[in-house]
Amino acid sequence: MALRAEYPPPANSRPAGSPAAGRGLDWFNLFVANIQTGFGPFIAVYLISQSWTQTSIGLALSIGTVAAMASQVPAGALVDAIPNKTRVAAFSVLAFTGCALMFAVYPIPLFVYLAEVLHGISSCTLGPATAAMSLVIAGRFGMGLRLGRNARYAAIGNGVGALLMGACGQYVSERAVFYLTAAFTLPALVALLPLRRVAIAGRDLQPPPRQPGQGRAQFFRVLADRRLLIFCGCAMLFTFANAPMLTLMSGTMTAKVGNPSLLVAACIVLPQIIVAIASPAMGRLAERRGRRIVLMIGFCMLPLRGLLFATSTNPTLVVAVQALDGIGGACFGIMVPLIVSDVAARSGHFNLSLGFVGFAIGIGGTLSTPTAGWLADHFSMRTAFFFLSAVGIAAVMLVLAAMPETRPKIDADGQ
Amino acid sequence: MTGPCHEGGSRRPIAMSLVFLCALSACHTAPVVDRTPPKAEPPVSAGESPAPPPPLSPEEKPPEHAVEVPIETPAEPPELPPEAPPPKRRPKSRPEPPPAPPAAAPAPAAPDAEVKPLDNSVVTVLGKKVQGPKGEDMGRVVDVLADADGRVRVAVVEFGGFLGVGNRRIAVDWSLLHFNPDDQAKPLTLSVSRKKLQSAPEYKNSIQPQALMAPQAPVPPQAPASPQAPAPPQVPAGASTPSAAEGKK
Repeated sequence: MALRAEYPPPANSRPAGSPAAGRGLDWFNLFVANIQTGFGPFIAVYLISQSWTQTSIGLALSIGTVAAMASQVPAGALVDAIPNKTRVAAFSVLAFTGCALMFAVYPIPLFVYLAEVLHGISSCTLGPATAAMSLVIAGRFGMGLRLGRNARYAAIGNGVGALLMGACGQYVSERAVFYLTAAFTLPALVALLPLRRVAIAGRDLQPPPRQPGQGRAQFFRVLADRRLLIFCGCAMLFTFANAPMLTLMSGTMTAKVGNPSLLVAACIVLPQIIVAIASPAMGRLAERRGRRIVLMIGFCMLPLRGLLFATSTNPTLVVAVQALDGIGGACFGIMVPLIVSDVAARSGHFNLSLGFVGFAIGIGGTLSTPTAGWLADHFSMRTAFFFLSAVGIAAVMLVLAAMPETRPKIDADGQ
Repeated sequence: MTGPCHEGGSRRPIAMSLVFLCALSACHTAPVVDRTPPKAEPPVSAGESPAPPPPLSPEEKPPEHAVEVPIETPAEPPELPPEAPPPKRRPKSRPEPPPAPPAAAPAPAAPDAEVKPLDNSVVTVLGKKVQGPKGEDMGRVVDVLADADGRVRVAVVEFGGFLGVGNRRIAVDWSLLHFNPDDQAKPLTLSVSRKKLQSAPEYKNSIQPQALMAPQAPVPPQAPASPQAPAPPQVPAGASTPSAAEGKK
């Protein structure tokens, strides 16, 4: 693309990280995923146990959603502006510690709302910071492999975190889950120690110094990049179709089986195992064969899963179908930072672009759950799944028809 | 680097949202302090008492256990209004007038409300754990619904799921919930088998919500309202699922 021509060829995009830094990033991904498990839908369960009313719980969760949505793009810009991404990551994790402690120690409205906002914002700074550290460690051409590894460790963290926290909530207390979450932030910070140097190493990855007055124009040029916009559309449709599937399905299944908690746990943990297994292969595939093929594999899982859910509610089959979610999740989780790094790695607006995609994903996720729930209530569960499958097919079509290949090697050849 | 401009741009929203938050939580505190009465329902049933009753009529009984709850027929609304007894409310951990003699008829000229010590047999229902007849975990009470007369009709129980995913909400007849008079900290007992609860339709805040109702003494669908026949505490109710009254107000 013409946009890239103004930059020198990526001579200095060689890996800058030591093996220790790579391992540190692995562990960091694992513990962050652990932490994030505690901040999921479990918050609603916890607030119920604290005698919160449904209205207040809904308000708290909405505040969190709005904060996360609103801070995606600004947080991306902020991370771009701060040279030391490791420090950003460390502060984000410290913010998580604060959130978890606020929930655990003093769950009054002010603190819960504050924690929700803080968590929304720091999630938005942490994601881009992690991606930026990966970029520095692996370089642009090793990014696919690195992200595959990130996704593997994050999946392990998610799975283990879900099991630990589920058990903790069940056998100890709801409150203990948040103490556990706070405790997990400590090893996450320790894992960042070998990454301290990354900030210095990353300096040669910074874009060429900006000419005065050029900033704003470039800002908009990056966001108006056709590839980024199309990918935002794809990501939004994917999330729209993906987000409500498990919630819808588990709601019906818990009516039928002997131990619903165990079944839902299986539905959550199995995909994480698949992600842990498949991610590195997907990262490699993306480097060798290009992004489009991986994107297609991941996106095709969606309509498939929707149609299978629409036709059967047999618990065993449902758990098996969740394996497809693992494959889809692996592909999508790697492709988001990878494609954004293809498009914007050297523009100086990598994190801003990532925030932009995150915003699109947020819109998809926020709109889809009420829509799917409404369809399930007013028509049937099957209708809702058919609708989600249709959206999934639309996402596949968009990738097929419009999404260009963004792998940098092809890009360089093309010019 | 494009530092300053973005940085400034992103701080302002944060600061603003903090202000917004404080404002929000300020509005919130009010409801929290006195959120206790379930669905505060000012509307005293239309044609009932001529005397203007103060919002907190002091003739309520302390909620000891479920036995006190008279069971009406499930398809209640038709026959209730005529002889509707005084609006009975369930006080929960709230400084309210203590039990006056349980008045059978609505006290006509209620004096002004006054502060009196509350006996501590009252419990917060919201968030209370619920267990089955065999002591199995059945989730927590998340909401309590009252009808137009202010009578608590059903409790909404949330159970199942894992880490908040896949939870189900079922509305259950208030009389199916049994309080433990000896130990307030203990969970409430729901005299419904877990299977029954699981297979009940999910409670939705829709036009026609459904609930698990206690069985009537015999089976007659609409016998004359017989306010006796408390639900036998430990019998797993072969509960039917007629639609609960009019759902949330």
